[in-house]
Amino acid sequence: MESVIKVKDLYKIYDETSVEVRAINGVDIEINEGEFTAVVGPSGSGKTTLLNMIGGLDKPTSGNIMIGGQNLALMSSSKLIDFRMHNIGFIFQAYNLIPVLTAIENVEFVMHLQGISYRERRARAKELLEAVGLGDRLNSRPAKLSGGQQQRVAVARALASRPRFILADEPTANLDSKSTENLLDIMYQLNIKEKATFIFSSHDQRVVNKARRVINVEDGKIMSDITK
Amino acid sequence: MNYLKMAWRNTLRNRARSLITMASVFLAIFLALITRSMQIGSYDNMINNIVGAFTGNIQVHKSGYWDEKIIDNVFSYNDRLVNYIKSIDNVSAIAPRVETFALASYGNKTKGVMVNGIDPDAEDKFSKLKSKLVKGEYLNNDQEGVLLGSSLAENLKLSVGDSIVILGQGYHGSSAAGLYAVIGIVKFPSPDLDKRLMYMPIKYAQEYCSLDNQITTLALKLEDDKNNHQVKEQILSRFNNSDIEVMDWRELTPELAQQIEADNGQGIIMLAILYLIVAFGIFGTLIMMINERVREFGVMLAIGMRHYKIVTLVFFETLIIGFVGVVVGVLFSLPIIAYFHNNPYQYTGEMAKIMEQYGMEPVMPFAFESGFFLSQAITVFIIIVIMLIIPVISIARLKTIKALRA
Repeated sequence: MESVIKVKDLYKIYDETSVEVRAINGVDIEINEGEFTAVVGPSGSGKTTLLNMIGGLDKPTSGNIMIGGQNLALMSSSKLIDFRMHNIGFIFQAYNLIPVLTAIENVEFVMHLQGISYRERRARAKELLEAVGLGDRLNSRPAKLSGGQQQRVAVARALASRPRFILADEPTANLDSKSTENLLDIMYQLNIKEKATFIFSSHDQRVVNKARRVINVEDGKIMSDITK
Repeated sequence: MNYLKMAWRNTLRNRARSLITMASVFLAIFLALITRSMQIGSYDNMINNIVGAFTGNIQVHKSGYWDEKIIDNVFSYNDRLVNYIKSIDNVSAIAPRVETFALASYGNKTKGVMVNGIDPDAEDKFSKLKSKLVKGEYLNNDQEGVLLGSSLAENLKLSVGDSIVILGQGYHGSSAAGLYAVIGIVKFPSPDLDKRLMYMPIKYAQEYCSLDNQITTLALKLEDDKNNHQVKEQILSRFNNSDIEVMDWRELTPELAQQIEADNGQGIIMLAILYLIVAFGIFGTLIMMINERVREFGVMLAIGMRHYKIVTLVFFETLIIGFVGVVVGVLFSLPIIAYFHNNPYQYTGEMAKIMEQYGMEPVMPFAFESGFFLSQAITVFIIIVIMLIIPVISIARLKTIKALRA
């Protein structure tokens, strides 16, 4: 199977204070197409920092992050914005939908940025919202949706631009158990149906149980990497 | 979802704040339009009264006349000059005059007067002199007689039908004297003019001063005073610059020009203060709007929205607030300005008396100029652009990861 992400010799060192903090301390990983991978570890282990760097949101101190033959570590911030738009879908812990847009408009938003025609993006957004079980809430604003429903809109938004992979930082942290199960099922189905590559960071055992590959990070290092 | 629609929704997001900001823009525009319209209307009234009633927008004299108003400083009033000046687009009326000072005597009373030799028809068109007639008849070119200001007539204790002796200096040192029948009394709002003005047909004034077809003053009325410098240049370029002097009303009545300038300056300072307050209101709104949405901007950056597109969105949001404020301000002020433009406010009591003493109609018409509405809208737009500078810089400097953690 083809590698989507190749991370080589990655370091992220914070030295803003007198104490040097090695948030990522020499990480090497490869993520293949279609994977459903969980990055787990205790708080402060570096899993969010790792995901932020893979997602091009943060720059490494050293090392390479190769995605589709391009090294994210060498890209300017404006190039990174365009790169993210075309290659990466994000699901945030706090959903982070745009409050003035309806569910369907939130899903359409990234496609609008990509310059996709109204008809095409509307059809795709509708299809995705139906896939996450929100076909009847297309025109609801985020404030009118529950946390679980908002996160499902965020999943649809992340998939809308057909990215190479989706990064989900603690996607179930703010959800109750029923919503968590429901969300995980939806993502699992989409992973198969849309052949979307998912990478999660999570504390949640239910996420770990659902993942087909589990990468355990502690003190900025990979302690174990288990494919089920 | 276009940015304008999104901006509109963001404007409605915090309705109270947007409404307060819109209200401040509305109030500034409303007050600016009303006060400036009043001011400019008053200036127009002053100019029309003083300039229109006597001075004219422009006067042509022999070079040096204005500094030394003697009867020797005359120039030839000929068809070539008249036809040329009448052919200038902006000129609406001309009035040739022979102006000289003399002593007027009736019985045992003597007063200093300003003798004005005029073309009765042209002068009436120019300054509506006939409408100021309160007794007797108006002048005609072939009747040897004079009109006197009512205060002058009262001071000399004469009336229509009496004869007045005037004595002065004629052309090149000749003595000028004459006995003229008083055929009418005119009343000028300005007491100063009313007690010293005397009118007679121009040919008799020329005869009195031993002039040929010469005049001291050619007064011009313009349709649009804003372009008076063009008319001046046209006249000066046609005639030999050293022979004639061409002066506009600002040079002829510098006190009036200075008074308007000083008052206008105060008005502009008041407007500047008003707009400064509005500018800080807009700035405060912008800063709050941006600070509370840093995380949202972070998400936008994360999913692929470039900084300049976020700036565009914020610009539209501010523009909507400004636009609504301006439109409502114009809509509220427009009927008030239009009403007082067509039905000028009438001063009463002491104020009316004071204005009349200064030769002005005791009214305050509002100026109605489309350009002024536009200039206020442009001013608000410029304020918005200036107030956006700091917010734009802070958006441009946003780091995605830091914004997401905000």
